[in-house]
Parts: sequence; C-alpha cells; structure tokens
Amino acid sequence: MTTILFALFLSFFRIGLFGFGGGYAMLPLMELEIVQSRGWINPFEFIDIIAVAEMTPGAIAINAATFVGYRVAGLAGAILSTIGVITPPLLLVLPVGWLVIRYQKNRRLEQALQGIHPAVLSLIVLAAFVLGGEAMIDLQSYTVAAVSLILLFYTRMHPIILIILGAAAGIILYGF
Amino acid sequence: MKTDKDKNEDKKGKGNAHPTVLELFLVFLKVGAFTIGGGYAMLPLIQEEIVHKRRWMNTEEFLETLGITQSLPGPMAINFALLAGYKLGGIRAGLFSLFGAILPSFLIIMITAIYLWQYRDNAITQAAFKGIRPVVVALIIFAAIRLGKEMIGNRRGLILFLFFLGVLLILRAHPAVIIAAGALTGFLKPSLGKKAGGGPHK
Repeated sequence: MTTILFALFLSFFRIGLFGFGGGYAMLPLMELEIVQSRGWINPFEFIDIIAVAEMTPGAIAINAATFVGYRVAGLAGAILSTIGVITPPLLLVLPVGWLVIRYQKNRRLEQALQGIHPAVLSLIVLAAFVLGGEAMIDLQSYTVAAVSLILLFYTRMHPIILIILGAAAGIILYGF
Repeated sequence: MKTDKDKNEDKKGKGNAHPTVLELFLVFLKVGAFTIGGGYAMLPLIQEEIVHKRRWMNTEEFLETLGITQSLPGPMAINFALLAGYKLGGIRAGLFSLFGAILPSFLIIMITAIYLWQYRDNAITQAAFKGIRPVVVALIIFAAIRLGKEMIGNRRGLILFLFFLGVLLILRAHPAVIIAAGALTGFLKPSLGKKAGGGPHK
C-alpha cells in the first residue's frame, strides 16, 4: 500500500513538474503515467474522469489527480496525488516569484519560457489524438465531435452545456 | 488600517496592499468553488475579485503575476493563487490562498468518486459517456485552435509546433522531452517579436 501511495505521489509530482501550459497540455503526460506505464486506470475510464474533471469546479489537473488517486488507493491516494501535483509549483513558484519581484523581470528567462509555447501547443494537439483514440469509435461519435466544434465556434456555448448535450446525444444514439 | 477603504480609492489604481490571510483564503475558496472549466475559466473571476471588487492589485500587477504563473509548470490557477497570495501577504498568505483554491475541487471530486462513480457501469450512463467523450475531444481541439492563434506568433513558431507534433506522434517522444526542447529553442534564439519597445509586428 505504501509503495502504491509513493508511486502515485511520484507520478503526479512528475505531471506537475512538466505540466506547462495548463490542464490540457498535461493530459498526454498524465495518460502516459496513469494509463500506459502503470495501468492504474483503463483508457475509457481515463477519458471519463477527464470529462468529470471538466464539469466540476476547479483546475482540471487537480480534479483529475484527486479522482485518479482515489480510484487507485482511496482517500490516502487522493490526498497524496493532489499533494504530488502541487508540490512542484510550491517548490518553484515562490522562489521564482520572489526573484522576479525582487529583481524585476528577467528578459532572457521570459523569452525562453515563451519559446515553450509551440511545444505546449503540440502537447494539447497530442491530447486530442490520445483521447480521440478512445472517443472516436464510429460515425456517431465523429458527428457528435463535429457538431460540438461547430457549436463552440459559432455560439461560444459553455463547455458544461455542451457536455450535457453530449450525454443526451449518447443516450439517444447508444442507449436504446 | 486595512479596513480604510476610501483611502485606497485615492491612490488611483495602486493595489490596496494588505488583505488578511483569511480574506485571501475565502476569495480563492469562492473562485475554486464557482468556476467550472479549468484554469482559464477561473481567471476572469479571480480578476473580478482581486482587481475590480477588492482592489488588492491593479490590472498591471494582475497581468504581471499572471505572466509569471503562466510560464511556470503546474496547474495555472494553483500557481496564480500561490503567487498572488504571496505577493499580497507573504508565504503564509500564499499557502492559504492555494489551500482555498483546491479545497472545493477536492471535496466535490471525492463526493463524485465515492457516491456517484458506482453508477458509471449502468447501461444508460455508459451510453451517456459514449456521447460525452467526443465532446471532450472537441473541447480540446477548440482550445488548441484558440490558443494556437495566441501562441504561434510567426512562421518559426508554426514550424517548431509541427516539428514537435511530428516527433510526439511518430517517434512517441516523452512529453517532458518536448517541453525541454521548447525551452531550449527559446534560450537559443529568443523570439524576435518583442524587441526593444517596437510594436507588435503582426
């Protein structure tokens, strides 16, 4: 049990450490750690957990960490996974923040960090490919995704409403 | 001292310096409890609370803090709570802000995982999730397109993006390697877009 808890902490520590650019960019690494290398969660449950993380308040990465941790090792797992994902920020944000506040901006560092943007974007697109492998199973699912994109572009529909509509579509298309 | 709000109105735009640790905790608790859709969805509410409503920071300070947090690893909303709390009241305030921001998530996810997840095996729920999964993929694609416009400023950025994506998909490179490579390209040849006060060259 202790080994699982430590492994969870370590996995989420790595996810937090390399998680630049917000929740979606962290998904490929999360999938690699949780689904592929450890097999803690199966691919379908993983994408469903991401959907729940999206629908509930708060940061997606934190929600996913808590959820996966609980599924793998109960309350202790949830706590250690959450602590794991926030430890790198705890170690980095305060010292860097202190330096920046003290010595003003470091132009070179700032530019290096801007250089990460294309890498972050490539990870977000990869997340779509990784989850798409599980989600896009037939003509119906491609249709749901296409209609969702159209609604997002033309009506700026709120993600929650879209997810609820997706659930309704799923029940109609697959439920009976 | 900190209750003297009128005085701060005079110091136009300058952030009111000292919220208490409890005030910071409660503000981030509220933000954590009422914003759905992840870090980017949380920002407008954070801005509303600490810039417009409470005037703890002015817009410039807010954007500066945001800029630092966005360039560091980890969940953005978490980084922001930590750094904003630290700026406004020291280390303890930073930690309590962070704690406030994650507490609602933690409780809601625990309730979902303990009481609701058992219904996931039900046939109707399974059907619903089959409909939800493509929506999640669409949300990610939409985010990529929207962020892509901001993140890819020039042709060099576009080429790097395509290169990284190719390496990820074909060579199955580890995401951490891509992040490190991205930072390296920034160090070696800093983006030319923002040179010495020149306007944006779009």
